[in-house]
Amino acid sequence: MAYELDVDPDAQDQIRALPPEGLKALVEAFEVLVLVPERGRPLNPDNPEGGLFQLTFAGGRGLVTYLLLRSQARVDVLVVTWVSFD
Amino acid sequence: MSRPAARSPEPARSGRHSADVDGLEPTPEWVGDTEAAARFGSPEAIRAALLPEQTAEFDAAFDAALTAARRTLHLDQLRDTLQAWRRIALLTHRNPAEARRVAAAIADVRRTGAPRPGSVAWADLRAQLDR
Repeated sequence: MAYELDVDPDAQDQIRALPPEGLKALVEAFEVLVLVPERGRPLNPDNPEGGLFQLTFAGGRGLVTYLLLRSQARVDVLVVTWVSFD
Repeated sequence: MSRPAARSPEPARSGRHSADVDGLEPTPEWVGDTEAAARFGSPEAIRAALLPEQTAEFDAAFDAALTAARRTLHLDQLRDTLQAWRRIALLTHRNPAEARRVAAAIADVRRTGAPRPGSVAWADLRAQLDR
């Protein structure tokens, strides 16, 4: 079962600001998330509903923070953090 | 509201930090993990760096991780939980306003059960980005 993946308004701006290599890696990470949303690390493994998760991407340069709403088969992406080495 | 991407400066990339005296620190997976472990080595330091609206969830997660460690005699969940919350502590330390916004967004979604206004499906956003 594929999960619906929604992107919060602020996270949309963060995604648009990613460099090409970051965006490519994020697309791959989201392809995994819609199928296996538990792939990220839970902030509290004992919170099965409405749980907050983190997922690294691009070899650890990016970090996605998201909410997993299992009963609605939905993932809400809240923050996309990117570390720049420029 | 438009806002800049959540960019962070390059963190220190040293080896295992001296705060990891118990060898409990998991392998860094995010580039900020080494700095987060250096700044927020103890649960006390993590908690002190959090916003008031974040501490209840940290307390619950830490309590659950300690219970799991006692029950299983394994420290995996405790390690992972502390690493995840060190990241939150570091991001909160760097950008408290952003952390406050995220905490409010989490509370909104949990209360309403609906995506926040202005949210878009990833498929639609990706289609926009591909144009």
